[in-house]
Amino acid sequence: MIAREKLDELIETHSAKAYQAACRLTGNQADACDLVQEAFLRIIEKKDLFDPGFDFGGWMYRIMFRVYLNSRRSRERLREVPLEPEAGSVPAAGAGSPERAAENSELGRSIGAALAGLPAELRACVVLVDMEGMDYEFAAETLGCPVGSVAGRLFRARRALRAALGPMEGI
Amino acid sequence: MMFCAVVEPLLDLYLDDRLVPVQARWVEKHAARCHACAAKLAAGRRLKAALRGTGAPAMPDGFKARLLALAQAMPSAKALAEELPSPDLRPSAALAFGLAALAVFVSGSLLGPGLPSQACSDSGSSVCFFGGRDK
Repeated sequence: MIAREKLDELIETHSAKAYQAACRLTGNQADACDLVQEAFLRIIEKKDLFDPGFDFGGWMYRIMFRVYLNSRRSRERLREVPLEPEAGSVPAAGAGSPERAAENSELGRSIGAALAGLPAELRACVVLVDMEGMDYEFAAETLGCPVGSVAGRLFRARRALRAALGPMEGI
Repeated sequence: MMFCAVVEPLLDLYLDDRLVPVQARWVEKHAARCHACAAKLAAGRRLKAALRGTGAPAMPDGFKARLLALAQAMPSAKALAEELPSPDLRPSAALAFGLAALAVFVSGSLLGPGLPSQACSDSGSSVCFFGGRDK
């Protein structure tokens, strides 16, 4: 069980990371806010089940990605638009000069559009492994599928992304 | 090249460092000779770098405070369970009732006179639609 003070501390620590992953998954800020809020609601509801010896970040990812996939399965009408550079956008590490930042934002827009075109399962794999830097085993556990399925989904997702981004940057 | 079809599915795994050393060396040797696979490998590296380098928007102001307020307002599942009266479900009682109902039904079927046939009655005056007049 998590004590109230500890829960507040965990929200302070992990909410920004959860929000970034949610933005990459959903493609827009409003849906990302809803997704993070829903995930934290589940976490708060089930906080009595949490063992403090476990990794809270992994638990949070697992809940958030499953909430996302379940909502995608049940509500295919969910509107998604590609990530737009918005005010207060945090550039990735090593962004460098303004010219480089502009190139990155252009590439980011294209990547957001290409990601939006992927099925939810493939996108979740790409976000977890390629964008969040998790390994295959963590992705498999989070998404509730075998490691081989993660590899297969990544192969298909990257092929689709290369096809979508091909004309740009020689990808 | 003949081996390209075999090597191509391994390129992503090579980039993710998921191959055993023998397979990795095989991919490297093939890519050194095959320009097409070398180009695919380079494209895969660029895609991975681009994905890793994609930034995400910062959290909106006040969103973290909203989550913290949520944590304070929401009672836990355990507290909710303690507050709400749970229905008195006794599996053993339900099982006993089910077994008693089954016993009544079985004994009625074995010992009882049984239901008259829907098609042919026992009385001689009735008409059997399937076999003419009953005897």
